Amino acid sequence: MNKIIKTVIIIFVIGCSTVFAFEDVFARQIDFAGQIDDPLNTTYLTANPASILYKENREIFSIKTILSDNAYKRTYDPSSSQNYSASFSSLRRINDASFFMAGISYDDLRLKDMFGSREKYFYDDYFSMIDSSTGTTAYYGPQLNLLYNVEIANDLYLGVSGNYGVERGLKDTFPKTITIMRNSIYRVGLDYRKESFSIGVHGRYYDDQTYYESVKSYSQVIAKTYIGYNVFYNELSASTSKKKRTRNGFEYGGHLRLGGEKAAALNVSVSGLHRISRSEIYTSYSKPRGLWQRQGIQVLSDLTIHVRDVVDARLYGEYLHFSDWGESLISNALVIENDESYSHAGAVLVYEPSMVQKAFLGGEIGKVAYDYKEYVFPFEDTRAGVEWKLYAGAGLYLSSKTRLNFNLEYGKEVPKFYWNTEYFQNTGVIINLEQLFSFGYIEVKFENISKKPSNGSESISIMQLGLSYRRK
Amino acid sequence: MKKTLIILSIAALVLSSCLLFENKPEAIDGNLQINLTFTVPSEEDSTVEVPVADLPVRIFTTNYNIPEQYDTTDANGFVHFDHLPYAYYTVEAHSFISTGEFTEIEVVGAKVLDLVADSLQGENVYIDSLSMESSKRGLKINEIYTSGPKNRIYYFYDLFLELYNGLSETAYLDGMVILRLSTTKDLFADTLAVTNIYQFPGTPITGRQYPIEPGEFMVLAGKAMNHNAIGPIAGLSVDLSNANWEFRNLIEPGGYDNPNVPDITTNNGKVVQKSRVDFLVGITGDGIALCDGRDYDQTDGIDINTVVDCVEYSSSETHTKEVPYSLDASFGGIGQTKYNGESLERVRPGFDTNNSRVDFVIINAPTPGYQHE
Repeated sequence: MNKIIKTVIIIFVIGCSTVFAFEDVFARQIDFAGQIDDPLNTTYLTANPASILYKENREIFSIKTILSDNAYKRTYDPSSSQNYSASFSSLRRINDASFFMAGISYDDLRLKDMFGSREKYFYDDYFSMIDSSTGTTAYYGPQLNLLYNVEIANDLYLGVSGNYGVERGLKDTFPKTITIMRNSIYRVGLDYRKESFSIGVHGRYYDDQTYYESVKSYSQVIAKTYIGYNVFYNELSASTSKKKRTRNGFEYGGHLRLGGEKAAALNVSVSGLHRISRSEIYTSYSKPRGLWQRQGIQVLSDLTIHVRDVVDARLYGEYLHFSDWGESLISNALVIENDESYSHAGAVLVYEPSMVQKAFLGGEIGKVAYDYKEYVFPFEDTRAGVEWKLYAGAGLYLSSKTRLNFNLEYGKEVPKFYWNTEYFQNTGVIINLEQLFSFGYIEVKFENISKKPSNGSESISIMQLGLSYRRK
Repeated sequence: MKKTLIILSIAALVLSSCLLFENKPEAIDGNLQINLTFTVPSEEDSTVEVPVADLPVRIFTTNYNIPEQYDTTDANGFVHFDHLPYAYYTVEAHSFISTGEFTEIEVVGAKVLDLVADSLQGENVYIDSLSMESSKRGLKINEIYTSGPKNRIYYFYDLFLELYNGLSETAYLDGMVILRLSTTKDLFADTLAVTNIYQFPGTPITGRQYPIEPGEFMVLAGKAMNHNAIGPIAGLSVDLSNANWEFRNLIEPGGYDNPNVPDITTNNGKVVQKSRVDFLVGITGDGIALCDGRDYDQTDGIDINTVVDCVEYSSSETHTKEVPYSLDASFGGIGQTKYNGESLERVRPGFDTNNSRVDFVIINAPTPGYQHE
């Protein structure tokens, strides 16, 4: 893989991470199976800004569309969604020892037919609020991201990055619900990097502020605050209902790489994770509703072995464990406890007989365990299960300017209780077609995931269609 | 410079982690226990309370969507509820007690319990006793419909009041007055402050022209018309064209009057008010009184001893009481919404413990002239 493509991929990964920055994730979700073409380096595992490799100036412009249709959904999920985004990034080397990157992106997300939910992602919080509306919400806004990387001593790199986004949402219903979200993420990292090994530390702090306001139109706003997923608190109906959610998170960790690209490479990262989320509503004065706190640990590892000239073997694993507790600020008492763990291990063989042909076959297996309790009205769900996935795919150049990738997946997924099924059987087909034109690359991506719940014959079908463009 | 930057970054991360997070609370919600003892005054000596056995007791909260709980008192009048969250609760018990071979009395025990964490100061066991009392039977304001039908044109002119005669004898409305109360600063006052006053025709106390029979409902309409005939609210409102009475301000220019429905009037030469508009009350909050009409001069307040029935209501839980405690110990209608077709009605016809929060329930649609199921 030449340096230019590698650079583009690295930048693309950074760009992708900012698309979802409005709701910064607690733990990085690593799709090992979807990273066959990309290097599983410490940057990908940790997002450490000090680990990023870059040698040349570059500008990238991309646009993307994702459409999804949620034929099967939970109560407060949208029936479908449309996401349009555009981004521009520019990288500049300042001198031999440092570089700077700035990027801006703009997203427009439409969540259609949201029943009652005032939240963008209802199931992402224990104190979500609903009102008396069903309708489509449009979220839109820009994000700015900056990155600075400098070699502060021989082979010792310091990286600092920041991301700031503002988003506005408007629900086309009565009562009208306006959402204003402000998100910022700050990362700092150190990486001592040699050819045969690297070691580093990284930290992340984020601050999400979300403000909701429902304004009456002819009738009062009838709002309810969920405490968990089963019990809700009846808020007093009012002409205007306001809510504020503040979420702060913190991550710290380290990584180690042994080996290089020529023989074998082992990457391991360990992160400690903390997050606190507070919700309060406003009438004539502030009424705190709840806070919940999550803390956990994430371990990611990847071992890539060059078995032969044309065969790579990759072994990987992930361990994530976290626990939550939630306090009702109505009663000042404990109302929710939750404990979750995910342990996954996988292996993939990559056969690459030439620069224009590649095939892979892999599989992963893991265990998930959920232990969720609500106390206001007793509810408990404890479940554990084994998840697995088999996948295979190939990538080849149909011509000197056309590249085709396809990926097939089949697996079993154990969801949380609110999906109302013991497990899903997932079937996935992903096809990417990329064409090089004189003005740049255009990529068409088709993804269809079928989820068959264990409790019935009806399958869930999720379809995504993406179109992206990036300059050469 | 670079070292300083690193040290500052690490220090900021560590410091922020210390400042951000909270301690897990020790108290667990959903563990509240309520122990209640129900008693009734002894027939031999009313100063002595005796326990009521086998009494069905209902407890519920409107704070959460949790189910109501039911239980029955034991021989000591004791009943126990547990696994409840901190909240405001209404406890209600209703029974008929035999007082002789051919007689029985209806008794009620009802109370609103403020069992939020602050009021209990961390305790999770609440103990109380309730003395049952006979349900006050009489001429009552049984339903108050003021919040308007489901609409987007701010329509609430289909309002009505409903009276119910819970007496075993005929009552007479002659000369009685209906008051819309203003805030009474002294909640132990002996007069009522009045915003609007309307009067039935006839002579107070002695008049016998306008009877209301035992068990009869009477509808007092703001405007006695078929509101369902109005386009934007067709099918969403009520037909009041056959109401028993209609409010009418005699100095209202061009005021509506249904000639087939007798009027309850104001500015009629006896009762006087400044407002020139028709009968209106607060959509989701006000105080309404029915008085016998002996005192109809509201300029110095209406004598509290003339009150036949009085109800205070408000949709806001934090509403400050405006009606003297002796007439209504609390207020009903908490959570009622505007322009949603909701109405406020007694839980049973004429049910009255002098505590509107217990006595009234919000119903999804008005029921003029009959009781909701």
